Amino acid sequence: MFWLYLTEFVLAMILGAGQFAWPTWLRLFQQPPDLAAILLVIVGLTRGPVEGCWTGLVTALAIGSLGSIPLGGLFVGYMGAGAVLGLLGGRIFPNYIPVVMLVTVAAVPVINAVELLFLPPASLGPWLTGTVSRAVISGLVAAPLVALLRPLMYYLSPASQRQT
Amino acid sequence: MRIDTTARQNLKPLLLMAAVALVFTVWQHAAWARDRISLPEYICQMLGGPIMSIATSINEVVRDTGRSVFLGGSLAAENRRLRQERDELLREKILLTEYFRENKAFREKLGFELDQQVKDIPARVVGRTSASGEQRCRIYIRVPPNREIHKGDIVRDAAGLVGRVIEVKGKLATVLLVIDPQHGLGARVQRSRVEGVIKPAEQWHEGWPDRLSMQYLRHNADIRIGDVIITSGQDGIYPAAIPVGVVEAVDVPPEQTQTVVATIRPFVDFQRLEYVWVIPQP
Repeated sequence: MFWLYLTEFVLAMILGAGQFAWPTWLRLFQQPPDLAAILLVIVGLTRGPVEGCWTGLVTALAIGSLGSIPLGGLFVGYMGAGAVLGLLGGRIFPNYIPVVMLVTVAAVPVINAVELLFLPPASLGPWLTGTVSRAVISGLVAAPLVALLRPLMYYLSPASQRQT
Repeated sequence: MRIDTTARQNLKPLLLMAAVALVFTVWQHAAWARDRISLPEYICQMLGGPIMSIATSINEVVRDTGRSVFLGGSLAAENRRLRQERDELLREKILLTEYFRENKAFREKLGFELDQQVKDIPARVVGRTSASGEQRCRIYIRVPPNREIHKGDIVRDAAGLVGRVIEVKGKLATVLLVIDPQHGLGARVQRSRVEGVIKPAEQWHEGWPDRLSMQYLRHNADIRIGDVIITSGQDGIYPAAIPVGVVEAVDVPPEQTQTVVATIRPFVDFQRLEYVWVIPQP
């Protein structure tokens, strides 16, 4: 289990940094995908609320530290989303990539809306456009990322907890 | 019964993590209040900085390879055009060097103090916040080994002014861009020497990205479309004569008839920043 938690921390750092260094020519309306949210969805749906919450903690810390963003809103948004996704894990089909894509598209605006309460934007219009763009591009990027990360999560999981 | 046990088992680690999050948040606020960063943030930045550099390098390799493959045919033409431009610029440089020497001689004769020659520090852009829809317009730069930059240093690229360093952590620095809503600077029209204050344009919020607005200009100010705007050096932050942008429109705000507002298109393409120069402040 230790390796799984450590891997989730390392992945959060890589994806958090990747989010900031995301190439401008691959952005949708100047918005990069929320790679941290995608990781959160994958871990939350497959590993349950505790690991979902842990992933939320480390992804929020990575994003907040690298972007010099206040951590309070990020923690509430990401940890809350991780825990809720973990509780949803048994009720939907996390092994289907389209399901993960759709959950990502839904999760990104929810996380952004929670952050909005803590850090209000200058005006709502661009925030809305940015959030929708980010949700769409996150959903698209989720597909290859799920294909990449799911086997890793599977092999790091204890044999008794492996979902087929 | 089993559900209760599982929920109780889950509750303990969840509460523990919530407590950790609370501690990190308070720690961050306390550190920021003292203009520093907390230890967890520092560790994450030390780990994340190199990852951002690697990701940027990979991005550049992919983009350049893609360009070579898809734009191979036009490269020769572009090469010819660039050679012509280089020759023209060389001629211009010779002329400007001549003017500079002449100016220097005049200044010495008049007893003006000459500016100190400082070496600009090249730095690489390794990350950025989203340009639209967020409160912050910042980039993250990484300076080469053996060079040091400080808070308040000015950042520019070959085209013009980019912003200023607001935070330095090791070799990673945060730069506040001139298009950030919190930013302002003193500027003047290069041709007529009319001065004003530059802020991000209101249209920035209406989906007209990366435009600046020159304000506090009198209604009869000599400013035209196409005029070049440079820093005035009057704000105590930026040195004079750094190119900022070009006037794109001059309007009279509906509520004020005594002033005009100019919309400035910055010379710098903030979406395509790769390398910048840091000008150390004395």
